[in-house]
Amino acid sequence: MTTSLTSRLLSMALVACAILAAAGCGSPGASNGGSAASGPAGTSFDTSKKVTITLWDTENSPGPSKALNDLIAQFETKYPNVTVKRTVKNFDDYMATIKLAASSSDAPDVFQGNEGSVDQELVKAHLIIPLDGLAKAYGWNSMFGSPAALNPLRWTADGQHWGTGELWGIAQKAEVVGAFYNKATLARLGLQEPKTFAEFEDSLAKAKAAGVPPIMVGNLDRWPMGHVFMVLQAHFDSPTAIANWTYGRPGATFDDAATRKAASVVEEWGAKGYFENGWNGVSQTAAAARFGKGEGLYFITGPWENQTFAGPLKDGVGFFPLPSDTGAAAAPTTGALSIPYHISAKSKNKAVAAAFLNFIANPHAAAVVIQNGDLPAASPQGASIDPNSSLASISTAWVAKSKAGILTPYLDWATSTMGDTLFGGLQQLSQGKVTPAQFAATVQKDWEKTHS
Amino acid sequence: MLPAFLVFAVFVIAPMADGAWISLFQWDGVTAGHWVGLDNYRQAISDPGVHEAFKHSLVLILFYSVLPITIGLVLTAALTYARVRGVTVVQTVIFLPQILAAVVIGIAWKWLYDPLGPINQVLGAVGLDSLERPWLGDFQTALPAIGVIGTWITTGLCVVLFMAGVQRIPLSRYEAARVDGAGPVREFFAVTLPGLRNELAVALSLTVITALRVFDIIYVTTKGGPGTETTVPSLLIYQRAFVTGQVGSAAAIGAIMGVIILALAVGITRVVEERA
Repeated sequence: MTTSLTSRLLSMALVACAILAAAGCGSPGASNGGSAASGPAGTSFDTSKKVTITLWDTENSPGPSKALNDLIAQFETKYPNVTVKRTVKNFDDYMATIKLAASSSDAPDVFQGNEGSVDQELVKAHLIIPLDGLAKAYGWNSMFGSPAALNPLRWTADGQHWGTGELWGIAQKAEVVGAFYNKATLARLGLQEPKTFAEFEDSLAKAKAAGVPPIMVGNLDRWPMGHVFMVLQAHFDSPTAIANWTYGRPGATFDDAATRKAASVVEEWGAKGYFENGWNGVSQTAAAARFGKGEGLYFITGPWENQTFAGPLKDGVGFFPLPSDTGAAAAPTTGALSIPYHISAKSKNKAVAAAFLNFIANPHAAAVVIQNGDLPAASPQGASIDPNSSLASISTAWVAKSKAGILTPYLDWATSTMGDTLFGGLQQLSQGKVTPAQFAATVQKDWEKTHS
Repeated sequence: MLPAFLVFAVFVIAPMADGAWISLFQWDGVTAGHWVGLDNYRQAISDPGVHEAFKHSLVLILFYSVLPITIGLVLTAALTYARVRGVTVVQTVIFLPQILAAVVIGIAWKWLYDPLGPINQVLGAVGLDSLERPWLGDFQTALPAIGVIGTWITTGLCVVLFMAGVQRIPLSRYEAARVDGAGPVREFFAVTLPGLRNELAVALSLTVITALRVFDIIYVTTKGGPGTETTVPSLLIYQRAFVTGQVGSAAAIGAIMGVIILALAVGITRVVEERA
């Protein structure tokens, strides 16, 4: 058997060589991309011809998913000749497959990318079209608060420079990260909504002393602690420094005093038991569900979880962005437009795709998003938010902070490997396995691999 | 032969050759890649993250291979010696994990290992509160916890293989051993173990390969965390190929893994054949 195995291996190797030679051995990916960015699609299209457009997205939370389904149904009613075929996946699976799907011959017409390296690759490979012409026609530049809100969706046509150049996508929703809190629990502890950072930390200590898990976080999924860290960094560091680093501008560093201070707070809160018991072994879905059932005092996350909490707790859940030291000035915090939608360069129905894109993001769509408990990017038309709801506080925070220009970008946009490095590092840091200095140095080293 | 070989060539050899070819490029998976020769291999071999991942694989071999084979042999010896009724039922129950989808197994165990899950509840109920921990989130227990899932999965395979093997051993040998006054231990080492050499080789090859390839269980439970405690080569391949746009590097690690697995399989077969 040994000899036959050896000879089989040998023949396999020979065949492999033959196949390689036959294949011509071109560079992988050389013929993958679409044609060089085609011009803007128009706003009008033939409304008598039957067409099907395909949509890929990662809006798998119940609220946002229903909002999208509602809008698709309305769009199909408005244009009976159009059918929208939707494919939805959870975030990790989606991000692992979208680039392949976008480069395949039957790429979806409309799909979500992600700020940072995913969008960069889509632009570089000419897989999506620039939207400036459409933006003018549909009024997108002024639709989402300040025009600067769209900057993270701008790239130069060669994909080399971020935050400037052409517009490649628009977003349906907005995100601002802060602390959701259980109003009844806060009252039971004899506390008010914290107005300063010191009061916030004091409330954590009081909750811990009373046997209430101060911060619920399911960090088995790795990324949830990222949002805790990001709002802390936004508290200690300047928004400009964080933006410069995230956008990969020369000279920026993660390894500075303010960032290390933020890291030391994560370490300290871990040591003091301010995160829920066994946080690195709890899934985020489980943690969020238990917070929705009334467990714990705070949950630091964004509006995409609002419906998970407000569904069961109704007005019993509140929201505030982390307060500043004095409580006087508005404090910077993490936030941005949500994951953008793009139009495929391979789409045969770009004008229909553009009309659909506008339909799911415009002020009417914003109202549908609000009805489903999430925060829209555009200001809503004909929908009011219950002033006692957490969504009202989220909306107020988004408007104030995006107008003041004190929203900081998500750190994992910085490089394609940053999610893994940063989130793995936070699992270690929160359990005291690495020091804040080691954590900051490791993250910076990863950044320098891409932006040296 | 030829049709079979053609299928094999198209679906196995061609993708392997393609993978080997891609491993010589720096490629993000979308835009055109560029030739870097053996750089991806050099980087993989000197990358401490890759070293760590392979070390975790070694630990997993203990749980996926050594433990299940040991348990399988002990169970087989016991069942053979005692000639218990209902062996088929036992075999079926132990074999069950083999037919479940790994994702289902991962989700079930994630729930078992939850800090508030059944395992900790049982520990608390019997007064062992001090042992309660977030099994998958604890830096000491995460990798062994993944390993235990593997033991649970592969033990059934080993038992079924060994029980089938035992049935091929002529009863006369057992009778001879008993006439010579052999106890259960002597009987096992003198008759059962030598008779199971081929089954051992198969069990060892299959379980070692499973241990080296494990991906789904880790992807569903820890995604390589906490920190990098449960990162394994196949997870690195997945991340680099599909998430971080380092397809060449992923292919290089895949090639290295393929060579290691092939070497182990050939090695195991050889050792068994030489003894025969």
